[in-house]
Amino acid sequence: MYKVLIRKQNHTLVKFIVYLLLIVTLPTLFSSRGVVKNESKTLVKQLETIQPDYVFIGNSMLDSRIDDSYFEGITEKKCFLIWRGGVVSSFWYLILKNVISVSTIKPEHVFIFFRNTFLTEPLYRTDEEYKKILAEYKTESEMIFDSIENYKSTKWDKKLRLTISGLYTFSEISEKARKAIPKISEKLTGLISKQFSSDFNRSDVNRIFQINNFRPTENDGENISKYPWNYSFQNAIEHSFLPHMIDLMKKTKLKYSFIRVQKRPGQPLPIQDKLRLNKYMEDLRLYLNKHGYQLYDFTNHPEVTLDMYGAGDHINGVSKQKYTYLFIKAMEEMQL
Amino acid sequence: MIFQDSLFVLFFFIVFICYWLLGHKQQNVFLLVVSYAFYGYIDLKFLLLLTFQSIITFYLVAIFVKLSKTNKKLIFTLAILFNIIVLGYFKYYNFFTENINSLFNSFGIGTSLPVLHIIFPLGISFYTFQNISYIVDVKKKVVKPCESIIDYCLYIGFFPKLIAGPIERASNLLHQIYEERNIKFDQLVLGASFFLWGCFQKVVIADNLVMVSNKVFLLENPDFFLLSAGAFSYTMQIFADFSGYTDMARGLALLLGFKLMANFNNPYFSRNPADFWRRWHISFSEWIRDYIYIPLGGSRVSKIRWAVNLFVAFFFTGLWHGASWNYIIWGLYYWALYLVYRLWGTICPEGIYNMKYNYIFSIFIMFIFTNIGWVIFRETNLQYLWQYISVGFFNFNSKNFFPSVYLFLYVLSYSFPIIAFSTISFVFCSSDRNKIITSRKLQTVGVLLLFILVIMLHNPEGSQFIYFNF
Repeated sequence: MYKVLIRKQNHTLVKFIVYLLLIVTLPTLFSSRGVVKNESKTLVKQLETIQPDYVFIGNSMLDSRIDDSYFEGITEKKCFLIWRGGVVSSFWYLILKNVISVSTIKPEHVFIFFRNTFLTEPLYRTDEEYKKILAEYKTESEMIFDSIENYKSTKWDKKLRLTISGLYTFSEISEKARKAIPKISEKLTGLISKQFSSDFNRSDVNRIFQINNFRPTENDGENISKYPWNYSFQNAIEHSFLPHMIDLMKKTKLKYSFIRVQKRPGQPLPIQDKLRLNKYMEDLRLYLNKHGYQLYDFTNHPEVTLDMYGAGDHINGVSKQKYTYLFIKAMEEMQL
Repeated sequence: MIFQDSLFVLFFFIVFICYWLLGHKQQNVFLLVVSYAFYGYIDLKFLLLLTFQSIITFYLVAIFVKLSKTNKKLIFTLAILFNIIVLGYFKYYNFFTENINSLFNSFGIGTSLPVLHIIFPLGISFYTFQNISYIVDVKKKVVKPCESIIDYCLYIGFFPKLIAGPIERASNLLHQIYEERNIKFDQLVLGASFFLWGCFQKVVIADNLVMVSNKVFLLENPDFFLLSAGAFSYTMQIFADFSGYTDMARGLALLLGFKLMANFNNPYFSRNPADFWRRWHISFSEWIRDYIYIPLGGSRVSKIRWAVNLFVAFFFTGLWHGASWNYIIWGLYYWALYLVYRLWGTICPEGIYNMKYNYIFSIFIMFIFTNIGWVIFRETNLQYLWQYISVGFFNFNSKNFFPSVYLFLYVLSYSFPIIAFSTISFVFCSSDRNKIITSRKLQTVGVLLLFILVIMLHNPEGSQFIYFNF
């Protein structure tokens, strides 16, 4: 009786496993990677048309700090900002490799804006939506990038996750489907607004959610006291993009400077962390100087005050021009 | 490792096959090992605490059963206190010391009780409540004391419900652990569909709504329109998030031959606060009712005493959710609603009370009150909470009207499956919404469709389950 029951159980188990396998394998047949936009080529074209005198590379920290038209007005030089929200060293490396190095531009100077220890955090923000952004700036062959990426995946669980997610790639359909809902909502709101003889535009929503409208005390999730950086600069640099960025910078024969943006004041670090961060920055400075590049540190800048901040470490819209002016002054200090 | 993580799905698939190839006794040992591996993967320290708390409770109850009447009281108190102290230490210690320090400082008395750097163990509120309910139920002779430490540890640590419930009673889960479980194809398909439906609610609905609610509640000066859109978004998000988790947990349990209790019964179709708490987080509200409210005397006391009992019950309802004042205010908000509703019932003329559309109207009114409640629940910063209540809700900026309509429609579009599902289940089988998902036709088409939708529409950024914080 027991044996019969066991046999019956196994039969049901097999039947269900087949059922499950059918369900999980069916969608993989329609999986496709889709066409990835090539943003680096677009950027190269833009740069070559503009031929800027100054190029700035960074993320939203850069965008919230440098007002390009104000900068151009004062310096009477053309500038170009290359940034995407939230990106860090992996993106900056790709910009140097696939945009700056391949373009024919000859700017007077290139500035790289960074925060904390992001220059030596190769694995930070390379997953999920950042993976998608990075793909837009990659070329077919990215040996260095991939080797650093694979270093990340040596952890078995991450590797496994990537393999599974690779089976179900519906880039194009998925993007279309996810974009459909905001589009439908937009169209419906447009129809409703017309009933009231009014116009609605999606930009109205974006206007509301501008960084300047967010709470000033709210951190953007990168409070350094929570940030795990229990390593030294020497250990961190080994598997980072920084040495490869330096190689590329040397090849282009352009002048570069690294700009460390100031963290929002009033978030003191534990003393041990502070000492370790100071040591890290000192080592970074020595490393960059050794290769002939400057590091300008806005930390503790007396004229960058708390009232100039918006959300987290971002500078608010009102103070953007003031910060740009301070930066131009800093350029003089750097003898640029 | 969370349920919607591909690594977990793979882990569960292997567990599932091995589990059904084992005999009953080995199954329990295997499930315990797997449950502990799952919890230990999150943090080994959490696992040590869970094991320690389960073993101590088990043996204290075992001693309690063997003792004479006078000593029983002591051990019973000890067992309850032990669990409360562990929970209090890990969850509320810093909250109380910070409040005591600031209270004394405001009187000019300089105290500085040390604030500890304690990591909050995931699921502690859920499994501590299970320990307590077991102790009380054994004392009340509702359940027989468990004889096997393995079975007891499995009852507490059973991984589908370990981190965010349902808070299972020993009377429901322990006997399922004792009994032999048989594999049934229909039950397995039902389990898979529960899991996928839960997954859909979490990764498609909740994770896509989180962008709206997070942004609105990050604004410095949101007006009435934006606050309403944000509140509506969070209302749908928290339901999709928690109900999603519960459905995934129930699905996983079903795949292993267990039936976990339902935690939701169309809560947004509630007609009044009492009704809401019968439908929202049922396992928790029943726990509060059975182990706090009724032992205090429930409603069979004087009116003033009843109000006090209710106050205590709602105070703990709020406090359980987190060591923050906004949760306590949220609990007491429901207490106030409860009292007002009772008062309204006594003074309201019967004609109005029995009006034709009163039913729909009361659901609508209660839904608005629920939205306001979630704003209190969402906003941990009391300064901003006060700003919403005193200024935000009374400030109407016409420029924000259509953008808010857009946000409403966005939320509505994403929540449509949940609204449709709840409406159908409420209208056609109001007593048990899960009857819908047991429909054979929906299961066969649904499982594949849900799987594709989850892959295609999930928000790649994802977010943690809200109830993991409690």
